[in-house]
Amino acid sequence: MKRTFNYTQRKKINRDDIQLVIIRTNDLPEVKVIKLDIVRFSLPVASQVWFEIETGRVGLVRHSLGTVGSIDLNRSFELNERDLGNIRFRIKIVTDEPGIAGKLLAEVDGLKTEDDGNVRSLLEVKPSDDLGQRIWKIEISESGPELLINTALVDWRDVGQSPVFQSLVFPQAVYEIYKWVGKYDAYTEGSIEEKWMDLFSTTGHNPNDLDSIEDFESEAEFADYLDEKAHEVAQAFARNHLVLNQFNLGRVQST
Amino acid sequence: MTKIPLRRFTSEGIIFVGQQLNMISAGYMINLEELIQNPMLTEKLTANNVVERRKFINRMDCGHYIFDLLEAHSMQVPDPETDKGLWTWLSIVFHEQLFKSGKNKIGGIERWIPSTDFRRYYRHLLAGPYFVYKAHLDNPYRAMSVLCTQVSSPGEIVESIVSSKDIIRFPSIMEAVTKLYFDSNTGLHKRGASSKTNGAARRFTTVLGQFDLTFDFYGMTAEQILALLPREFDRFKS
Repeated sequence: MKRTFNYTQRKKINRDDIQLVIIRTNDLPEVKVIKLDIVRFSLPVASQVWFEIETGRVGLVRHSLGTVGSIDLNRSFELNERDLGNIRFRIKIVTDEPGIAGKLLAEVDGLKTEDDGNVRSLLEVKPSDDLGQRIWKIEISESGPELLINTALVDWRDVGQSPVFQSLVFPQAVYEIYKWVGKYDAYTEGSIEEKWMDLFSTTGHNPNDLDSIEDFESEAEFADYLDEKAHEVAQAFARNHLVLNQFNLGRVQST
Repeated sequence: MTKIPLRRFTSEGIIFVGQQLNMISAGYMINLEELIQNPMLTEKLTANNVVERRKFINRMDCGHYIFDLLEAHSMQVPDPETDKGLWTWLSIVFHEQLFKSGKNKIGGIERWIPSTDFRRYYRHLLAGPYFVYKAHLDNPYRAMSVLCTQVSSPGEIVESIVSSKDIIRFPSIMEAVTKLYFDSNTGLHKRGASSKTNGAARRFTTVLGQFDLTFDFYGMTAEQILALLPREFDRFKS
């Protein structure tokens, strides 16, 4: 049986307490903490809140988010485009009491942005022997969207994980799934639909903001509207995740 | 000193190099020189001759040289950290100084072809110094304890300290390690620092791992970290 030592009563912040997004200002990627919910820990208000960014093998920078009593979520922090595929975030709350240098009061490690990592985790990849000459297909099953990959491909698993394949497929998958989510008026809390909505929100296109089908004169008009919005989301997704760069990099690495 | 264009091995080239290194381990005489500019196994990254085949004084010199080289050609090598073909090619370019004790002992394939395992990537004889140098670019001398040894023989302290990525990342920890185990008078490690006895480098990583749950090392000075250490480390503090 595993045991956990925590003599200093360090608080464990849940990943759900935090939300990070990648935004673009003048085409440069920046990360922003948009949610940090630590009120329930009743930490000393003067304690320092730090946001650490780990990149690649050894990169580490950190920024102040103010104090527990005055958390500053207005700032965003520049990232290097080269690092976007290999980046982790951490939040630390550190005591400000004199004579107790660097004592950790609370921490959460291994944070990731609501990015393509979530697309990978939300989108179940399944083999299919029913695709004929097609390589892949998005199918909406009872459990949500699935990415079907043709088992006739040599090493279909490797194909599904390759950056080249993902850069070709994910924007189109986002387009199709947005159209599926956009048709719902209500969602069950914690459902797969809601998780996809949260993901789409990080592109600046929250499906909650969509007009309802009742606002349109016909279903066809609503379908056109949804199609246009889905294109915008796919564009934003591709831009935020430098899909073109990922494709070129994947090509270089695979040759 | 002669210079050559920067290249990387292709996927097939990396496999071929691995086979050649295994044959050297098995006692065969292999001419690695022939692989360096082989167009079937490598691809050219620069048109000009930019790689100087120099002898490195130590790991610091190596990390410094390779960092400058890759920074100067960041357009051609946008993501050097994960570029397995590049590191494999560089190790073959500098192969004469990478054999163990000057003999034809390769000493583990990951010293030549970088491992993708994050716990072992630092063992690559050229990528290892590069990563440390890069992490402490503002003051590489604070990492002297893991950069002072020969490129072909990183030593026990490097193995103990650099295997923890958290230690490499934190400036204050690295400075504490150098204050503990590096002798600036000799330019070498202090006597006993590489041993398995109390207070030596291996114990440092163990003790630090216990403190890691309690302290925020990034915000602490090297002196504050040293003050936390138990008495067994006292003999290295002076």
